[in-house]
Amino acid sequence: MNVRRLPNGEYLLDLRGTVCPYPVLYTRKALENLKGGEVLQVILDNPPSLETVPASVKALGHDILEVREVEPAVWAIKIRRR
Amino acid sequence: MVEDVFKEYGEIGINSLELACGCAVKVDLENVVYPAIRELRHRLPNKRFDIPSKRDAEIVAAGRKVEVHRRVYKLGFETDVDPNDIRSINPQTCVAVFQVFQRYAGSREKFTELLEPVYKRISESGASLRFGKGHSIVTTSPEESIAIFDFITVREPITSKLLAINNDTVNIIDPTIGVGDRRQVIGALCNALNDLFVMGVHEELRVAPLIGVLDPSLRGKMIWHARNFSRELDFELLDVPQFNSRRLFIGATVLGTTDRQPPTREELVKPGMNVVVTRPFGELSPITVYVSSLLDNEVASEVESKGIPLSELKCMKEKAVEIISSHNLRAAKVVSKYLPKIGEKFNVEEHIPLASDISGPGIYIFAEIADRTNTSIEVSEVPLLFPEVSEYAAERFLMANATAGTNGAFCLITHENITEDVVKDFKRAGYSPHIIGKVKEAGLAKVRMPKEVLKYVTNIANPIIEVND
Repeated sequence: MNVRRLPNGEYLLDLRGTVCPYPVLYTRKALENLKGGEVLQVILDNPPSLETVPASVKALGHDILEVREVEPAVWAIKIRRR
Repeated sequence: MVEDVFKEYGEIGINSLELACGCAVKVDLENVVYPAIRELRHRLPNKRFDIPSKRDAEIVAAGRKVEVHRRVYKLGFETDVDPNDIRSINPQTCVAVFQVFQRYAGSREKFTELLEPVYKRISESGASLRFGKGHSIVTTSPEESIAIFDFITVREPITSKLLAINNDTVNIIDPTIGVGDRRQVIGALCNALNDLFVMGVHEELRVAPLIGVLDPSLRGKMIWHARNFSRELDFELLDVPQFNSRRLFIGATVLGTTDRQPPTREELVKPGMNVVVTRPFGELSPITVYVSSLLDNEVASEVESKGIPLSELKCMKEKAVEIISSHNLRAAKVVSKYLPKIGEKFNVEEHIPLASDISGPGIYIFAEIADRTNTSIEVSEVPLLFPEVSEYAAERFLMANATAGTNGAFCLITHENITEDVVKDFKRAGYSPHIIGKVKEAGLAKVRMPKEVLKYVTNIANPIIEVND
């Protein structure tokens, strides 16, 4: 899974099309490669991951900044690495 | 390496990351499918339609001539249902699989919008039709939203027998083994048969395989495995049309007959009865954790730090796959022994009033049973096959419900007069039955569970379930 750097300095991980447990695993991996305070935006379209991804990230101590539906049934989760 | 297996999948156009393990691929039944069906019932013009809301398998009167006619339709307003074709088939019942683009799978309104044109066009055929067991799975690709209908005709009725019909499909059993591996196919077929077996249905078995792939040689190999399995289990493999699907799915419509009454007598479930499971459950957790450990070194280290060496995790995964790809015919025969013949009195002191497949719901099956029987159930024990692995899977959010399985154990409600005999018979048949709880009161659907269940789910999220302090 490729993490892309956005012009605003945040990072983007597009996980559309993937199902559990992969969104949790790839989000966690992507966060490992970020520095403290950097922001990762994860794009998802698998409804169960809307529960598991934020919960798994919070359990690791990272901050959920925003969960937003960016188009019908596609969500963006913004996470700040601790 | 798992990357090599994923590469092998990729070479035949399958993205492994799109494939959910076992039964983890279904559209949300409680919040999407059942409400949509209730709404459709009101909207359909043909009042000769019957869409039952919830069941393990469809059960109708048997006949000497039974045929399966498979049709694949587009969903939504572009549906290509031909009412004249259905009129010429003149089916009595049908089972359906809906493959729905996952972005629409979370919305009751959108789901209804996709299904309604299909049902309306079928209704225009004027057929007096009962829509039997259906299920809905998600796809990650919008162009692959389809409905597969198996229309069943039953001619020359036999009054002394019932015909049970079920359909079930999965994406994959184990993504870390070859896609054409025998166990992927057998596991999927066993999972479809399980809903017949839990009803005690095991005679004149017929299987109409449903293999959605792009590669014809892979499909051929999978059908070949199904044919070999048909010899082993002595069922008839039906020759039905298959279809191309970029996203793998494997399953079957299965049919079988019985001369016994089905264990679907919710009204006979009374306080004092026991809750029995035929074996510990939760088959999917080692598969999910194993694949996760291969993709993420941190998962591997964490599992090892919990005292589970990776070699042992692999053995657990292999055991889980073995269980999933082993049929439950012997369990079906035990259930059947405790059911009255058609026409005989259903006596709860001798017969099993209710049996249900635990598979996908895992611990939530007890809430389903409480709801169906309008009783309160006290569960004192949750026997899992791999409790440490299930605990880790939920703790790390790899599975929302780490008690889920595929081709799972049965949950039975039995009168205390026969519980011991039932347990003995299951033991003799090679199972590990457990008496795990009791029906306490009638009139209020509720389940009390031990606190330990919280270790195996990320969030209990069911208003019927209460957890002991």
